[in-house]
Amino acid sequence: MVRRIATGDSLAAQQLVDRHLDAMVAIARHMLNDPIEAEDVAQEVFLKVWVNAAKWKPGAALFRTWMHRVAINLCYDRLRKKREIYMETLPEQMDEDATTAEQTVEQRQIALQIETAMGGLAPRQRAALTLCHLQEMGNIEAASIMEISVEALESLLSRGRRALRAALHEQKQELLSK
Amino acid sequence: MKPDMSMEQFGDLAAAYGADFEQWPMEHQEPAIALVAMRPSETTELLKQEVGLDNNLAALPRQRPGVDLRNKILRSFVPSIATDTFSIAGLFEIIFGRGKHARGFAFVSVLLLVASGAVGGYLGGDLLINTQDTAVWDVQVFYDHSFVLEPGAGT
Repeated sequence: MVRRIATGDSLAAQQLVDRHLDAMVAIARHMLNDPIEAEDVAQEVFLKVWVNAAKWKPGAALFRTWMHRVAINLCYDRLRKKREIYMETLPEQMDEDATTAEQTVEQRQIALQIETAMGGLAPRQRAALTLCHLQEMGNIEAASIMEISVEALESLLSRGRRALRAALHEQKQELLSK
Repeated sequence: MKPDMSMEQFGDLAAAYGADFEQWPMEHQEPAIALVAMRPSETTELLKQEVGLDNNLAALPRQRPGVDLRNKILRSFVPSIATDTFSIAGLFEIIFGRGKHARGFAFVSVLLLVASGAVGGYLGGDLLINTQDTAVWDVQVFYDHSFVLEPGAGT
């Protein structure tokens, strides 16, 4: 399919988009916690595919793995930039988040709590959880996407889950104390 | 009987992959089930701690991309971007498409191209000779002409 895309076959491009767009958006959504940015990332991934398809050498890694890696790296870049902006505008951001949380219905509130807790994790822990738990990807492929060993991935997963559980517990205590 | 998996390893895997064995690496699934059968109270206690978080993660909304995004991405697919390496086969594929018939058309057109090149070359050679002849004739005419103007010739 990649070879066909490289020769300009628009049908192959269509098939690739239909097969992977959902996953690209979902990964970016969980990583960035922002639906609009998630769509921007997905678009960037496919632009990179169009440009690099001709240079693709089969055998080095699965194309799917490469696409996921590109998506994760684009998310890391955006998170890095976000953190720089966040440090400058911290007080206002916190007030806005609190107001939004108060206005949501119960189910949305739970999802928001998890998303907020996910947002507090280190980017690599978030990536590991997104790939293994939300994308239901195998540990070998997830480790390959993140360019780490399976042991390192497992360590990121357990630390991420522990941190997530602690953050959710903290949020619950805060809600009970109000 | 000694189990293939220790409680510590079971705990580490549960902490990383959660309570659902289907999410665990394949090679650990069977030993984990065997350990649960041998030590049910300790293992289920460990799994219980993970179930809540698994449910929370499963409750996260899955964002579905809109049709607009799909179309926008497909509009960004320009074949000229994709084809940054040129090949004759690729060019024929663009002109004639793919498949057995397309290959036939491509073969016939190559033959016609070669044949027309040969005929063109032959005729072109003839024309070149004629041009040279004409040039020689022109020169001869030029030198046959008298350089000395006869009286009254220029008036």
